[in-house]
Amino acid sequence: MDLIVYGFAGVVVLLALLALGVPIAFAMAFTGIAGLWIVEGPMPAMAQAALIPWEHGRDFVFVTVPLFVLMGQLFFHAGLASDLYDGLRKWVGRVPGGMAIASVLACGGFGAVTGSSIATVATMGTIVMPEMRRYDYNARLATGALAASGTLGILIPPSLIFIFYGVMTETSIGALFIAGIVPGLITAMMFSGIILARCVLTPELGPKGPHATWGERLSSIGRLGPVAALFVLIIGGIYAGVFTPTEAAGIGCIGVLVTASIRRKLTRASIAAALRGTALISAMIFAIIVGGYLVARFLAVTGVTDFLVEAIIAAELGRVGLLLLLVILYFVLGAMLDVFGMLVLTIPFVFPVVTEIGIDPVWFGVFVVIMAELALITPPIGANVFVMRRVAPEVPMEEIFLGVFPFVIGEIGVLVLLILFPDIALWLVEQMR
Amino acid sequence: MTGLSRGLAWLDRISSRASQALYALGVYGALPALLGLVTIDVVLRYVFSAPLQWSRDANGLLLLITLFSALPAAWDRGHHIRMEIFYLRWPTRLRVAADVLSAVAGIALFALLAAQSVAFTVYMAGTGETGEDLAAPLWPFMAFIGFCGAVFVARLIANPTAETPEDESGRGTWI
Repeated sequence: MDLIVYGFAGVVVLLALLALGVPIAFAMAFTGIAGLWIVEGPMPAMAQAALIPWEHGRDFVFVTVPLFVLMGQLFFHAGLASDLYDGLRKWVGRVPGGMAIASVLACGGFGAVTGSSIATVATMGTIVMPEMRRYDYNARLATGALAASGTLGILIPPSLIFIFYGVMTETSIGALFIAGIVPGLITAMMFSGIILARCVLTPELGPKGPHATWGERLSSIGRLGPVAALFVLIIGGIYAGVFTPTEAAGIGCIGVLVTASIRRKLTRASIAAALRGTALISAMIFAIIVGGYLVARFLAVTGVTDFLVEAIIAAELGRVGLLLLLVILYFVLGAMLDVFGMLVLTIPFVFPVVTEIGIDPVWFGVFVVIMAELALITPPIGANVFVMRRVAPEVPMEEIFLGVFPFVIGEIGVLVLLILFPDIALWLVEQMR
Repeated sequence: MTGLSRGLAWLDRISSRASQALYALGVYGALPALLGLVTIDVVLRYVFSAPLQWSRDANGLLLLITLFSALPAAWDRGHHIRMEIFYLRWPTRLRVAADVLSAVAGIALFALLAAQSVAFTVYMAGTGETGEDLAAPLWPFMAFIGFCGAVFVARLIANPTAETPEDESGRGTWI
């Protein structure tokens, strides 16, 4: 039988395993190994089963994953987020919808340290929701703003999804981080603008918050300092070429530990919880990456990847046509799969096509992260919405999804801008190069 | 209690202890050491212009220990991602079948890994393979990942269903 037939049969088996509910890492690894066993024989398949984990488990680039996760976990467990929101609220709390706008900015800041969307929603939601309830904020606006703003956690660097993409595609993680800055800021401005416009038109949606004196505002800068300093240290260090992302992650961890110690928020329990969480999350990501490599190897051996690349290039879709196709693909997959699953399943097929037609891998990383953001807030999975529901159990799920809707439109607007003006993501990277 | 269930209970007890011990090694040993080594290397590199030549190799090995030692514990605690949209709606029988299939798929990977690592360990010990800059033998680390693979296989046999997420909220993930 033709090798490519085995390849497509493998894809069918993989999809069947996934639909049955087999964990993504196992489904991919099993398909990859069984496929390699059939097409190459038992010895190469067994060798790959040990060599791929051995090689990638020692990959210096992958050290970035546990260290950035640890930094976020330490920040999360030390409870440093409330200072961030408090400080920002002093500055923007008095504008219409000011508390919601402060929560957008605080989510951006928190995301800059944790790189996690879900942790951002869980943490900022717990801090901000009681206050928005007290000031009679519209529940749909409040929960929608928080659930959507959580996605900034994966776009504003450092971001775990960027690292994951960088490891999978061997794209520079430092360049990906830098490329995420401007789109992240545009998204934050877009979300803030949506809140402001809605609250100016309908003031009862988001009443003004408490007044803050200039003295209070200036003193609040000190509370924003640690996050700003960490961001500048990490991203500035990478941008200036001083640190590699791995080194920046290590320095970031030490920065959070020092900040938490100074704030007297560092406990043995919080350190232990952060270490435990980091080990489990890193192991999970590692298993997915190993599965992804095994299935990618099988697909490459059978020629499926080349076949798809050639077929899509022959279709002459062009850059925008291909990207529109990918937007649809990611919307569909995002409705069925977790973000990691969505990426690890598509990257082995999509990345060669994208690079073949001349799309910048760094730019594509930003595109993929924005698609992941959309998957996090659109039904039926919309992980951020589920987390928000736990934070605000009195708000029905449908209300939160409706609240998120204007931000989905905003996010799509950012995506369109990114497609029309690729330099939004690449300009800073070009300066770095 | 039949012989099989007694055997499974024994396997569960033993593998659970091994999994806990490995997890503790990764969490309280390898991971802090990894952070410490990266930080020390940065300080030595940028402050004293005297980086550790072997730090890259050592970091890789510490990473390997961190990741592999946490794998069985990650399974036991439900840190895995699956397409829950269908799985959570399957009838019980189909869900059990999916769990068994999951365990079989996992066993296939980690049993092969464990078996192959024995062969590689023997080969590496024979050739005296070391890291590029770190003059330490690599075979104990290959043996270690084989051991972790074997423990994982034992956990998959003893605890094939692991923990099932209650909803689609992405619990256990850090995205």
